[in-house]
Amino acid sequence: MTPPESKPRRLKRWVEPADAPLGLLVILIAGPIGWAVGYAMLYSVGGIGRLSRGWTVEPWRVAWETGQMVSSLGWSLAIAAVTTLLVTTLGVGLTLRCAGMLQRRAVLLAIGIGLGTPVMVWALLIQAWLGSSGWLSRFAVQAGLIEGPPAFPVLVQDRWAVGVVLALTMQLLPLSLLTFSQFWKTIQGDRLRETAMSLGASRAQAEWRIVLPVLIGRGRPVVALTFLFALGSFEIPLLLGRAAPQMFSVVTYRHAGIFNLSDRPQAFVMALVYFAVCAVAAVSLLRGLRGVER
Amino acid sequence: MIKRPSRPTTRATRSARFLGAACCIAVAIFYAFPVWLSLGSGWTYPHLGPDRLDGQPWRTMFRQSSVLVDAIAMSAAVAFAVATASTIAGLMTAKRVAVPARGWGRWLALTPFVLSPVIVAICWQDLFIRVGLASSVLGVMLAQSIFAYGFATVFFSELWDRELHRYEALIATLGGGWRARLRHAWWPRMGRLFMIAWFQTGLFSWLDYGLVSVIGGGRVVSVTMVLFASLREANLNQAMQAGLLLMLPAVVISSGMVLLLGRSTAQQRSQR
Repeated sequence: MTPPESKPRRLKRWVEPADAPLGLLVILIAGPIGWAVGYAMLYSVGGIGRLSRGWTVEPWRVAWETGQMVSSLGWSLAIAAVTTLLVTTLGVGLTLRCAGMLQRRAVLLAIGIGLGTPVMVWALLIQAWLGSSGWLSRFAVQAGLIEGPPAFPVLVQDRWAVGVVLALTMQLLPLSLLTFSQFWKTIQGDRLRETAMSLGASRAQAEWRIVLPVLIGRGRPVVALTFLFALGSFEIPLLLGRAAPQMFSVVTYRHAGIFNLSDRPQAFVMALVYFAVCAVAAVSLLRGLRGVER
Repeated sequence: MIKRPSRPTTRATRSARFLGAACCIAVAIFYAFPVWLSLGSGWTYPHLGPDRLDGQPWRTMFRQSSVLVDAIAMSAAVAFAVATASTIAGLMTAKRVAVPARGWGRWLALTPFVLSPVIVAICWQDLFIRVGLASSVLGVMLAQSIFAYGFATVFFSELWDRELHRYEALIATLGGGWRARLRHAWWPRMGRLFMIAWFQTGLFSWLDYGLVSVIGGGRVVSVTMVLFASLREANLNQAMQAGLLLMLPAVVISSGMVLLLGRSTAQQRSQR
């Protein structure tokens, strides 16, 4: 064990010029985020706010009793989990199965186009393709399969959020594919697999027990970030989601609308619940990172 | 140009080629549709395409308003500034945060990244109003930079590994200055990643709607704002046009980037 540093030495380390980036980190991130959380806390208990009449737990009670808090929480978590599962399975699966193909120029171009497609355009395209009066529905009518929009399965603004999950998956898959195929190159996946196979493993064993753990271990941050991106998504559920239940961002945005100030504390209650969920997810992400390092 | 020797066609390469072609056709059809819709006006129900193929949205855009053109310039300028500032700052920070294993620093860098921009923006709104940065380009740039900086820091801290530090140390031991370190240790290993981070942060800013709409308060008109406005008017042809304009630079940059990535891989392979 190293002896503890004396106080002046420790102080000196803090003012070293090499520590300037860390200072930047504190000023640019800790300050604003701390402000956001503190402000939301104060607002949600009536500490601040134009229409505040003093300290109260009323906004929390309302959020709990209307069931909005629970439904929004469950809904957001479920959508994020399903999206992450789909994106990761597809990303890792395609990397394992067609790593060579992912290096082809045409496929790379397709990934690049997907990566460059804005969230709002994904939402717009999913709606235009799969909506009840979208292109597929029209095609089905023209082909004589259905009689009109009501006969077409509801895939957008639907009960099971098919449209939202699909749009989120399409949005996040290119990044996942790109990162996993990069990791594949870094760990030299094909050689790893060949080595395992030449040592007597079957192809399935080599993939499941050797390559996959390495790939997922490296990609764990990407998986966690996919989940957090999906959890905090805004434009897609805003355009493709149902009126209720809604995801965190949409609920907060609706309540924070400038037209009804009395609704505003509700927005901060939802924001705080969301911050708490993110904190839990971030801590587990950090643990995951430490696990990878070990 | 050196011609690569042609490899013998096996079943695997043929099926890979077929899959690649199928993938491209699917992508082409998926994106041809918005182009088709944007070229006309109206889209009554059982019709597969626009009612009249008259190029109405594009003619209107070039004839009367420059709102869309202004919005493109605004979004591009903001994205460039945000990407450059946050990538460089992120790279510098990551070097400090990753290796000494300072848990709290990494934790801190993660925070803006794990949070939804629109929710944080709502919490910042009043502060930005107080300091006079609300409804201003500078305010939007600042808000976006905080998020982009967090992303860049996390991105580089994952990739700034020990091996690179050893390379750097080796070059320093052999008497190389920072320029030599940049050329021989940093760029060969991190150059591509630097570009990915720059591109991602720029794209984040370009595609952002939440921060622009809350902090910009409708005064800062980005392309996303224009797209949303046309969606609200329920004019699908116009919305498709705005979507295409929003998409175009992002797609051009990202495909160029990804293709570059592929080319350098091919080069590495031929060097091996």
